[in-house]
Amino acid sequence: MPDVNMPKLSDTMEEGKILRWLKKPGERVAIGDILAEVETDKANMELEAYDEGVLSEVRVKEGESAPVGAVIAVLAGADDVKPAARPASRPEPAPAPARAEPRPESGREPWRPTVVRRPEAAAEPEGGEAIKASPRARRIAREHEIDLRSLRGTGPGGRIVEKDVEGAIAAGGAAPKKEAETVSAPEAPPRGERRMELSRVRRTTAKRMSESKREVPHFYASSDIRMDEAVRLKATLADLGGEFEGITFTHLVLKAVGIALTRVPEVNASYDGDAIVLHDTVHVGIATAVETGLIVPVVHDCDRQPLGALVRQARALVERARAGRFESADLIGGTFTLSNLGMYPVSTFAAVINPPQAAILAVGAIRDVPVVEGSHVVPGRLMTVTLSCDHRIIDGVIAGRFLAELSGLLTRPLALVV
Amino acid sequence: MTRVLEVGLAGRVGYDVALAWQERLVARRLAGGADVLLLLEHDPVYTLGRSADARHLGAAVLGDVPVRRVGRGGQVTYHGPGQLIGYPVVALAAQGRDVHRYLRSLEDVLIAALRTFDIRSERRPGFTGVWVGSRKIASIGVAVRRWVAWHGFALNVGRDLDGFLPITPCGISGVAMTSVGREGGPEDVARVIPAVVSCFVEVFSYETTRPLDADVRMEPWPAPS
Repeated sequence: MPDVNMPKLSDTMEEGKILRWLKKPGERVAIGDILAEVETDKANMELEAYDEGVLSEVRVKEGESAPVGAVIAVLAGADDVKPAARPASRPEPAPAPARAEPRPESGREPWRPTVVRRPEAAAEPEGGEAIKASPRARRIAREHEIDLRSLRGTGPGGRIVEKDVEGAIAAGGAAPKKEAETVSAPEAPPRGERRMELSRVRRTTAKRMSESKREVPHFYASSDIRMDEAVRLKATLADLGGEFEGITFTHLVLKAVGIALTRVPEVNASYDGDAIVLHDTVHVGIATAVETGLIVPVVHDCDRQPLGALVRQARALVERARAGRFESADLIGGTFTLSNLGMYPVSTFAAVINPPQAAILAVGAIRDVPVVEGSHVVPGRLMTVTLSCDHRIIDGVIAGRFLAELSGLLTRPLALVV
Repeated sequence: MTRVLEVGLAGRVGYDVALAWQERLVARRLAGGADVLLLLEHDPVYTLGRSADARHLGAAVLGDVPVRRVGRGGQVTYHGPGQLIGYPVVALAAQGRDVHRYLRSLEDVLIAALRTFDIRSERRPGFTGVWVGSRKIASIGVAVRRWVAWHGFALNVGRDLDGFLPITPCGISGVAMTSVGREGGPEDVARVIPAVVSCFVEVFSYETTRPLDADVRMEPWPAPS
């Protein structure tokens, strides 16, 4: 297995930075192919392959540095490549990421449904034979109302592990439980109707949205925001590529929301019975349509991360979600939610709050409209956003202040990149 | 074997066109062609090195001037009329395969050329480029493909430096730019070229020069106004 080393590009060079990899793990490499771009001082060097084979491992990530001579990648000879030989590039999901833990300050997990669960969901089967499952798999299964009896374990001795449960969630839920089957009992449906069993994701959405509309007193505040400069900014950044590759208006709004939430922290909050819980972190969920329904991957630290990093994080999350490969950690910890229908001819809509969060922002399409500037009518680009608020903890004035901050940030969007 | 430098005077060229020429000249050099020094002026453009921080673009992201991410080293810079752009396409095998030494040699070329206009300039350790006191007069950023260097240097000549105003040039905040014209030398790009070419030939020890013999479109240099 030939190593690829950090090249010595100069007698005075001590370390080099990997700017980007042009080959990915698993890709075939021929002698003379460019593997990567390496930077030292103000020079970029294209790094050639001196051996052929398959890139089996990348040891230095893009943006990281390594000393001259260090092994930065490993090539496997063309023959000793097994189908499974793709280590290091995509490790197994960490068993217990810290961010998946319950938020201590709120006393309960933001994403756990608060409705009473059917007791069978977590109970052992009555038949007596115990289901072998890890505690974490049990917890995730319980939260997503997956019946462990319907899963086949891939852990040691057929034990059901976290991965199995996540697979079932991604696939739209496990086989329906007994009582669900009776609900869909095959009485022949009337002609002209089709009966579609609710997916797990859909079922969770149905319950949580009903709960929200029943329990949470919503009120709504809208604002028309001038997007002329934001449109130019997005076009420039899209041309730039690199970290901004694939940038969308959702990403710009995400960053603006992140900053606005730190300026009006009352909106970055949860209702907790006899207290308002203000969150120190700004984690914004993006409502995302997937095959099995609607899920909300959470982008972390939207206030602190630079725009480019947010674009990367949000794209990775949404891609994983759409491919059905999301992990439970992707979906928890949100303190606010963003729902953007701007890619459709939707000018304005009002979204249902995602409890226990205090508010959700609905974003419409950017429209070309006549705008009055002084004594002139000029062409302008407007986007209407609507904030749905939990009136138990947010008053109209707070909503107004939040929309003023958001509008200012998007109208003069330079603050989003500097 | 005689070491020959081919010099191309290309006039005013858009950034994307010049980039395509360089790609072809690198391929030609890799196939055994001569080293080249391509000299030109660009239409206004902001460029960022591969790892440059886009925040240094500042208000330039909102303007009409195009912005390009390019595969050279270095941070954000501005190119526009009144600036002499030099794109040497040079095989570093003959220069000891040392990219840092090559960067220092490019600085030597410009320092020597500025001396002919009685401008005292120098390098600053850790800050690639050429400086007059604390003011930056030339920026340098190169790329290397199979030990052939391309991209190069930008020497400010005209007095108008407004193009730099919105950005944080080279990623160094508070850096002041200057130009040959502002330091008492000529203000026309065309009048700086002979000194730059002869210093380039001397520093890199070429034995002879000849006009660029390549399939790139050449325009006459605009007459000094």
